[in-house]
Amino acid sequence: MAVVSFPFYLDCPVVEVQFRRMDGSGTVARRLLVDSGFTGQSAFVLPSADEGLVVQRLAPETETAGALHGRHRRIWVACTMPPIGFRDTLLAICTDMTPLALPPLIEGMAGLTFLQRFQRWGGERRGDGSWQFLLETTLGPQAP
Amino acid sequence: MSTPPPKQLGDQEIARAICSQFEFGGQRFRRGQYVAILKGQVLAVGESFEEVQRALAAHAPDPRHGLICLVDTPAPDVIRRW
Repeated sequence: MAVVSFPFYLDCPVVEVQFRRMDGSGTVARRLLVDSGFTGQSAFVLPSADEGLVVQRLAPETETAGALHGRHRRIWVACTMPPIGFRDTLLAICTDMTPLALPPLIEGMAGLTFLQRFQRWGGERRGDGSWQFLLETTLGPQAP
Repeated sequence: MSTPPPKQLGDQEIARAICSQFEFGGQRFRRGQYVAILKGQVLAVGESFEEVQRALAAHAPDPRHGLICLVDTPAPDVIRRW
């Protein structure tokens, strides 16, 4: 079992996820807002500019409802969280994120489909009163 | 006057057909299968992304060519305004 935690950012639950680059030259990190109310087959929303950077393969376009509505491009992304041994290939919507009105320096969203890949997830108040967001896997850390 | 040839479906249209009908071109598909589609044809079907990605990459190394579809009943992604 392995746990990773992220301090809330601007009072928002966030996670930092590594995405494998399209050309295989390492990964890029993205700080993502966590929202279990983001539901559907897709795990992430990323900015359009990330498509050419982290696409592993194109995916069928998706219909979205809510703050983002209409048809949007979608890609497969290979994501990792080495401290807890997490590695998966999931669907990401790539689009203009302006309608989401995300807080500054938040680079996308992670939804329920991402969270359900973990054994346990959620917010926790620390002894000093601050909040952190936890993800737990049954795996161990990956070797460097 | 001759009849125009039937329009070939694009990769995106084929993926929509597979997920809405669980069938395409006489081939049946199950929920949870991964399907690689390239140039209007089903290239590979498998139980994992990696399996069909390998098959697709052999024909289309550029990941911006072809697509991989996860067979499932179409449902919208719902995203709230933060």
